[in-house]
Amino acid sequence: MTEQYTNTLLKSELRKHAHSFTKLLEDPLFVPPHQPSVAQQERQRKRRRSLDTFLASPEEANYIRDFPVVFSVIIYSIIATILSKGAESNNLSVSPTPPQIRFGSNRPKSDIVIGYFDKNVFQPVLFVKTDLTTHAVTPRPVLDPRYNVPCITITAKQLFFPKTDFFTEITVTMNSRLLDDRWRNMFDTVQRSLDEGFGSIPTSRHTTRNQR
Amino acid sequence: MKITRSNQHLFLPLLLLLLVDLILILVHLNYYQYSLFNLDIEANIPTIYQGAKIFAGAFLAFLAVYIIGHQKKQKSQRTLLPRRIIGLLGAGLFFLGLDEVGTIHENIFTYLAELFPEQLYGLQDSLLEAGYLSTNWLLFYIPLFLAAGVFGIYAAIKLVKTYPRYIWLLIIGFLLIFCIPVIEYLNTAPDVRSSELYYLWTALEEGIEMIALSLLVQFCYVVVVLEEGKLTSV
Repeated sequence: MTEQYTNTLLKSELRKHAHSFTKLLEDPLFVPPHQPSVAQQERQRKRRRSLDTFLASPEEANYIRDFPVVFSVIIYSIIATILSKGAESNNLSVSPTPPQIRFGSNRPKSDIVIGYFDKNVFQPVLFVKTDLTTHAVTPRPVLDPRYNVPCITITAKQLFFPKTDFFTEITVTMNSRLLDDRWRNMFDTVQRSLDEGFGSIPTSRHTTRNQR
Repeated sequence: MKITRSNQHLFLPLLLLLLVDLILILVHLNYYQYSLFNLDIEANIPTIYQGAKIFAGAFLAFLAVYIIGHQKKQKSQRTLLPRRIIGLLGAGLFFLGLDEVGTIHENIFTYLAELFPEQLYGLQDSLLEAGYLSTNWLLFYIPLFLAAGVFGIYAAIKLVKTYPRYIWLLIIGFLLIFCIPVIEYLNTAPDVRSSELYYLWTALEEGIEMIALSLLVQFCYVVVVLEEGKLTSV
């Protein structure tokens, strides 16, 4: 009984909708919804299917296979470079040059070389005091290409606080727990050279390259 | 199965990015004495490349959010969570891009020390006394790295059903990002930093960073392609 009633209800509903649909189609203002063309449908179907099987497809394998040659060459070059540089560094003798300081006169607007260092000696942390603030300077070791020996540089930006246009005093102090005789000697040299070179330090903002 | 032209190149961006990453590492290893190519120096070729790449990733993530949001109007499926996750990923990439090109993390101590000089220098002194000798920006970014780690795990869990074939990009990308602070802590320690092999550590740290971000950018690209496919197929 209930089923019969439901069927009747459904049929009447369908008839009603069919009637309104026919009316709708006859309406001159009715714009049918966009139907993708057959070519578009085919493209979309292929895209969906190919995405699912993309990684497993033989075409993808062929495609990927073209790249390893290039990657292999680069990775081989990287490894070869690391190995050759490692061999060079083993042969690199510690510079006999005593600690020395040169301000940027030879290399204007560049780094300040404060001395050469022994790779086995710990690096100091320097504190540079200006009239406005105190900031820590961690000298950054680089390989000086001119001498091919490791040296410590302090960038001008590190030494001269960017916002400090004028300063009256620079004091370099070193973390006491890092002091040993060799660094103490270098520290003395740094301090002395800073004192001596103070007159040549520009008292306006010193621009240089940005260096970590 | 015939591969359509657009899908055949799905992984082309990743391959090209990895290629450039490796070339930059190789150039750094051979010419690190030149600031233009040194991975440890800012405002040079590697920095511009990395910044552009990260911004591209952020743009793709935001584009994916837009596309998924557009799908919602056509299909009654739940898309809010993926949109939020990918949107957060995009926001994180955008911040990283700003950080990279603006050298924020290198200068974070300076910026904060200007605002809170006594506290910052007091903190620095006590950390030095306690034996912390690595770079100081790391301390300020540890919470961010932890947040990124938690977000990476959450995102991977929530998106694994949506993008099962490509979630490895996200997982490996975040795992590599999590390696960065560890390597940074090690390679900025005085004994490593003073050694002549410091540039190798730099290559390792910056290389991991570049590859991690290439994977995340590729993930964003894949999401855009997949979601755009769903959009046109409706």
